[in-house]
Amino acid sequence: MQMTQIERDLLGMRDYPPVVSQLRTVWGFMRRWPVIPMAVLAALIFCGVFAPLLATHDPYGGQDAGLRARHIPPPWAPEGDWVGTGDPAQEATRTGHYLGTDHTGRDVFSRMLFGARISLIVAAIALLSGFITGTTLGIVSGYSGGWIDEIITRIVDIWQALPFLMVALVCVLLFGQSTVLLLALMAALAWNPFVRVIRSQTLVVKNQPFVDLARVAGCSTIRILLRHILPGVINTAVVIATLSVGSLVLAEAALSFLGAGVPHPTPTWGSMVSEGRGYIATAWWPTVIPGVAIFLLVMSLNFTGDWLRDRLDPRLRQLVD
Amino acid sequence: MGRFLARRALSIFISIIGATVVIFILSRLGPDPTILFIGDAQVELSDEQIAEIKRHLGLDKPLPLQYLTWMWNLIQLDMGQSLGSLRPVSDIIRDHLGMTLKIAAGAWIFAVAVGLSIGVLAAVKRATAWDYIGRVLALFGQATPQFWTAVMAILIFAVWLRWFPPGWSGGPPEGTFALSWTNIKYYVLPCIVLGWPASAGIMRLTRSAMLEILDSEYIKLARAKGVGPWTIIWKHGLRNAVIPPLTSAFVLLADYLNGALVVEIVFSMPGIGIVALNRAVYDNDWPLLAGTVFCFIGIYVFFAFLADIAYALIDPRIRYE
Repeated sequence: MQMTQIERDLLGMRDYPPVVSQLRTVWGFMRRWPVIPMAVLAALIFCGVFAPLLATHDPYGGQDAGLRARHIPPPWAPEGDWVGTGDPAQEATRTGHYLGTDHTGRDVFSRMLFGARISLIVAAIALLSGFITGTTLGIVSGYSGGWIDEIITRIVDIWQALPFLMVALVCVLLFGQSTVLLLALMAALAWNPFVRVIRSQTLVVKNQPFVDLARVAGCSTIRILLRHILPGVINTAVVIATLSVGSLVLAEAALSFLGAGVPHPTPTWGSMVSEGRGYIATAWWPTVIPGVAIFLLVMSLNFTGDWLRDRLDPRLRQLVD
Repeated sequence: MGRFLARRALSIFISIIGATVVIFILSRLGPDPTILFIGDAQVELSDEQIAEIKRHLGLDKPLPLQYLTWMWNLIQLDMGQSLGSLRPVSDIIRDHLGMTLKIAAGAWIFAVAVGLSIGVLAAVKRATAWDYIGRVLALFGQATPQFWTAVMAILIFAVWLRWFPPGWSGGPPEGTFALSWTNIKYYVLPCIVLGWPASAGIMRLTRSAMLEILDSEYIKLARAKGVGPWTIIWKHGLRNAVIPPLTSAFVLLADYLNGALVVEIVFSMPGIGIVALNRAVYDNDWPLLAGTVFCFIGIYVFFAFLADIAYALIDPRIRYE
C-alpha cells in the first residue's frame, strides 16, 4: 500500500538512506531473534561434534608434545613469532598451534575442541535427567498434594541446604574420581530448580475446568498427568531448562577445576584453567582461552534462555529472574 | 510472628537432619568406613585388629544408632579427631572459619553496595550508558566461572599492575591493625571476585523493582506536587524497591560458601574451604571433611533462617502465608 508523505509523517516513519534502513532492519532482526548467541552455540556444538576432525594435534600430547614445545605462544598474540626462527626443524614444531601450547607442549586448540565435547555432553546429560526427574516430581507434587507434596518439597529444601561443591568432594573421596560419578553429581544438581516452579504451575493447571472434565470422563490419573497437565507445564519446564543449563556448565567447570570432574588426562575447560594457572605470569593463553570459551558458552545459553522465557512464558520473569 | 518463627525453625531442623542423613548415608555407601578411618596406613592388620578398630569407632552397632551417636557428638561440637594432624576437628575449624567469614562478609558488602547503586542508576537513567554498563557488568558476572575471574584478577591486578598481592602467602605481618591498608589489600581481590556474580543478581533485581515503582501512581503524584527528583528516587523509590534485592542478598550470603571454597583455593587464603580440600580430600581425612561439610550446612541453614526473619519483618504478608 502506498502511503502519502503526510501519513508517513504521522506514523513517525522517516526516510532513511537505503544503507541505514537496511542496517536498521538487521538491527531489528537481531533484537528480535538471538542471532549472535545462537551462532556461538552452533559453532561450539560444531566444534564439539567434529573435534577429532578439526583437531590439528593430539589433545593428549603425543609425539610433538614435550618440553621442547612448551608454552609456544599463539601466532596472533603479542608474544607470537610470525616470522619464525628459520630453522626448519624448529619451524615444524612451533607453527600450526593456533592457540599456542600449554606447559607440557600440548596444543591448546585441539584440547579446547575436545574440552567443548565434555562440557556439552555433561551439561546435556545432566539437563536431560534433571528435566525428566524435576518435571515429574513437580507435577506429582503439585497434583497429588497432601503428604506426598510435603515430602517432595522437604527433599527439595534439604537438597538446597547441602553445599554442592563440598558434597561433590566428599563423593570423590569416597567413590574415587570417575566420569560416572561426575554425571551422577551433575544430575543430582540439575533437578532441583524444576520442582518448585513446575509444582506451582501444576497447581494452576490442575484447577482448570478441563482437568475436572477429564476426571469426570473417567480418565486415569496417569492419563490426566500426561495428556492434560504435562502440556500445560512443558513450556515452563523448557524455559527453566534453558535458564539453568548455564549454571550447570559453570558447575561442571568448577568441579573439573577442583579436580573432581572427568578424570585426568581427558581435557576439560575447567582442568585446563587449573593446570595453566600456575604459569599465568609467563604464559597466559592456556588459562585465559578456556575461561573465555566457558564465558561465551554460558553467556549464549543465558541469552537464549532469557529470550525463550520472554517468548514462551513472560510470567516467569518474576519467578526465575 | 511467633507461629511463623516456630514453623520456620521446625523446617530448618528437618533440613539439618535431612542433610546430615544424606552425608551419613553417603559415608556408608562408599568403601568400608574402617579404611577411611584408618587412612592410608600401609600396615597389614589382622581380622581381630580390624574388628577391634570397628568396635572402638562404634562401627559394629546398627546404622541408626551410629547416626545418633554421630549427631549427639556433633551437637556437643565434638567432631572427632583429624587423622592428619591428630588435633580435634572443632579446633581446626575454629582456626580457619574466621577467614572464610571475613571473605564472605567483604564480598557481601561489595555485592550489596555495587548492586544497589548500579541498579538504581540503571533504572533512573534507563536506556543510557549507565544502563548498558550495568547490563554488561551483570552479563559478565553471571557468565564467568569464579575460578577463572580469580585467576584473571591475579594476572591483571597482581602480576601486571602490582596493585594487590597475588595471594595470601603468609598474609600481613603479625600485629597489623585490622583496618589498615596493609591488611585490607589482601582481601580486596577475593572479595570482589566472590561478590561480583551476586552483585549482578542484586543489580537486576533492584533495576526491575525500581522501574516498577518509578512507574507507580504515588511516584506520579509526588512528581505532580513538585517533589524534587532526588527525594523521589531515594525516599519514595528506593525505600520500596529495596525489599526484594535485600532479602535475596541474605540467601546469596549462604550461596557464597560454595564460591568461597573456589576463591580461597585460587588466592590460597587459609579458610575453611582450603582446609577441606587440601587437608581433608587429598589426605583422606574423613572426620575433618565431615566436620567442614557439617559446618557449611550449619552456616547455610542459619543464613537462610535469617533471610526468612528479615523477609517476615519487612513484608508482613509472608507471615500469614
